[in-house]
Amino acid sequence: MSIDPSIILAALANVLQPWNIVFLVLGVIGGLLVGIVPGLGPTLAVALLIPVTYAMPPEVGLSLLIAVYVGGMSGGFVTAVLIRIPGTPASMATLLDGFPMAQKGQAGAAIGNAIVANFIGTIISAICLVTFAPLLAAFALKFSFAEYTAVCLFAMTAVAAITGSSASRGFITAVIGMLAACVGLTPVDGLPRFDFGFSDMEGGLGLLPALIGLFAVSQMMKDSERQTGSTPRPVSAMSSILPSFRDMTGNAFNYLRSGLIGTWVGVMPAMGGGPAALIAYAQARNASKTPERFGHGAVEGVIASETANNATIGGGLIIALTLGIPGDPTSAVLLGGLMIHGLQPGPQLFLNNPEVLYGIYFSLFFSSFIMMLVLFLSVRALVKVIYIPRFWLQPILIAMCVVGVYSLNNRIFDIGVMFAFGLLGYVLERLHYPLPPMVLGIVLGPLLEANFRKMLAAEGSLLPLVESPIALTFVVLSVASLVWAARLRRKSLPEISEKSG
Amino acid sequence: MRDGSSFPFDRWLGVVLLVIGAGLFYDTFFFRTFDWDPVGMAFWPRVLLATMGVVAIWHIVKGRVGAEVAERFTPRAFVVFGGGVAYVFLLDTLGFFILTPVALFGYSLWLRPVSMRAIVSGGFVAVFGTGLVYAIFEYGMDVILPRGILG
Repeated sequence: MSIDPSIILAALANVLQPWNIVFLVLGVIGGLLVGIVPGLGPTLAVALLIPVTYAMPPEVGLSLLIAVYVGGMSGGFVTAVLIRIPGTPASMATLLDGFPMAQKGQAGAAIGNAIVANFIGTIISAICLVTFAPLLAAFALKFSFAEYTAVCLFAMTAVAAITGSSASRGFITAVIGMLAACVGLTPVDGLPRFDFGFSDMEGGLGLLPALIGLFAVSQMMKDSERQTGSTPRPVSAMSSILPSFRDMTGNAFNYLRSGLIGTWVGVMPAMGGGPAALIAYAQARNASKTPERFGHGAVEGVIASETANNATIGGGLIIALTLGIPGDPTSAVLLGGLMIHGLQPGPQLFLNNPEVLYGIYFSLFFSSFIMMLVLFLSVRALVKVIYIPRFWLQPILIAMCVVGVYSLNNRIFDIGVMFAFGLLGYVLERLHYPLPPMVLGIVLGPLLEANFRKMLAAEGSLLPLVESPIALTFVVLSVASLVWAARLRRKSLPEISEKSG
Repeated sequence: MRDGSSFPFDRWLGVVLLVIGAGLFYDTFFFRTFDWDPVGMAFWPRVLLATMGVVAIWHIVKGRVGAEVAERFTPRAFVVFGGGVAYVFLLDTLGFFILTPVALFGYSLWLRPVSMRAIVSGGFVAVFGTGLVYAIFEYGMDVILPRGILG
C-alpha cells in the first residue's frame, strides 16, 4: 500500500478549509457539551449528527463526527471532578481522585491536568492510528472469506470474555443483535427474510435507528423515571486551571503508559473508555511510590484515567477502519456514518478512498488541539450546561432523534424501530444485560454471515478455518477467550452463591 | 422479577427468548430456497436461534447467571415509550407541525411537577424545539417532514 504525498497534502488542505475548521470547532464544542451533561455521551452525539452530515461531502461530514467524538469523550471528566458524577462512563475512574482534589480546593489543578491528559491521550492514539492502521490494512488485504469469518468469530467471543461473571448475558445480547441484523434483505441472496409480510420490514431494521434507540431513547426512558430534582453544586470554585510544569514533567511516563494502555484497550472489541481508564488507573497506582495517596486526591490518578479513556479513540479507529469491527459503541456509530456516505470500512477503504482516511487522521489531530484550547479558554462557561434543566434539554434531544432517524430514509417505520430498540435497551439495562455486545452483533452479524456462507459455498467445508494460518490464529484466540470467560465465571460463582444465600 | 425470588429474572428472560426463538425458527421454514445454494438463507438465522435456545435453556436451568441484581422497572419510563409509539402511529395522520409541539409539551411536563411555571416553560420548549428541528432538517437538509392533515 503506497503513500501518495499529493493525496496527503490534498486531505490536509481540505481539513484546513475555513468551513471545515468551523465545523471542527463546533463539533468539539457540541461534543464537550454533550460529554459534560451526565447521562449523555459521545455515542448519542455522533448518532444524532450523522443525519446532519448526510448532505455534506464525506471528508467534511466525517471530520465533524470525529470532532464530536473527541469532544464527547473529553467532556465527561468535568462533572466527575466538580460534582462526583461522571459525564460519561469513561470518566468513572477520574472521580476517584478528581473529586477528592476538588474537595481540597484543587479543582482547577484537577481540571487542568485532565485537559492536558485528554490531549496527550488522543495524540498518542492518533500516532498509533497513523502508524499501525495502514500496516494492519495491508495485512488484511490477504484476508479471504475464511480469515474474515475467523476475525468476526474472535470479535464475538471477545464479548463473552469481557462480560466477566455473566458471560452468557453478553452472549445473549450479541445473538439478539445478530438476529436483529437478519431482518430484511440478506447480504448474500438479496432476498427478504423475517419480514412477516410487511414491506417496511424488507428494508431491514437499520443500524442507526437501532443504535439511537439503544443508547438515546433508553437513556431518556431511564431519566424520566423520576421528576426533576436539584442539580448538585460544585464542591469548590475553580482556581487557576493551568497545570503545573512539575505535574506534567513528573507524569511523562504515566502519560505514555496510560496512552498505550488506552490505545490497546480501544483495539479490543466492545471494551471502550471505561475499562481502559480503570486499567490505566490501576497501573498508575501500582507504579506509584506513594500508592496510598490514590483515592485521596492523587493527580496521577486523574492523569492516568483521562489519558487512557481518550486514547481509546485512536485504538477503536484502528480496528474499525481496517477491519470494520467497532471497538466501542461510538466507533460502531461512526462506521454507520462511513457507510451512509457510501464508504465501506476495511482494507479496501485504504486503497479506494485514502483521501477520506487522511482526512480522518488530520481531523483527529486538529480536534484534539481544538479540544484543549476550547477547554482551557471556556471550561468555566461550558460547565454551566449542567444547570440546563432536563425538562428543557430532553424533549429537544428526543425531537432531534426522531427527525434525525426519519430523515435517513423518510420512513416513519424507522422511528418505530428506534422506540422499539429503546424499550429493549431499557429492559436489558435494568436486568444488567450489557448493550455493547448487541451493537457488535448488529454490526458484525451481516459480515460474519456473508463471509461464512461464501466460504462454505466456495470451499464446501469448514476446513479453511483451520488450514489458513491467519484464520487458525484467530480461531485459537477465539477458543482462548472463551476459556478465559469460563474461568472468570467459575471464579465468580462462589461470590454469586454467597450473595444469593 | 426480583433477584431473590424463586423465579429469577434470568429464568424469566430465558423463557421469553425460548418462546420468541421457537416462533422465529418456525418462520425460517418458509424462507425461499435454491438448488444452487448449499446452505440457504435460513441457515444463519437457524444457527443463531439454536445458539440462543441453548443459552436460554441454560439460563432457565441455572436460574441466575450473574452477580448483578435486577433494578426495578418504573411505569413512568413505559409511559414515555407509550408516548413514542403513539407519536409513530399519529405522525402520518396529524403531521409533524401539529404532533411534535404537543409531544414536546407533554414530555416536558412529564419530567417535572405540574405548575403554571411548568406549563409556560413546556410551551416554550414545544415551540422552540419544533422550530429548531424544522430549521435544521427542513431548511438545512431539505428533509420534507410529514405534513399530515395540514396537507
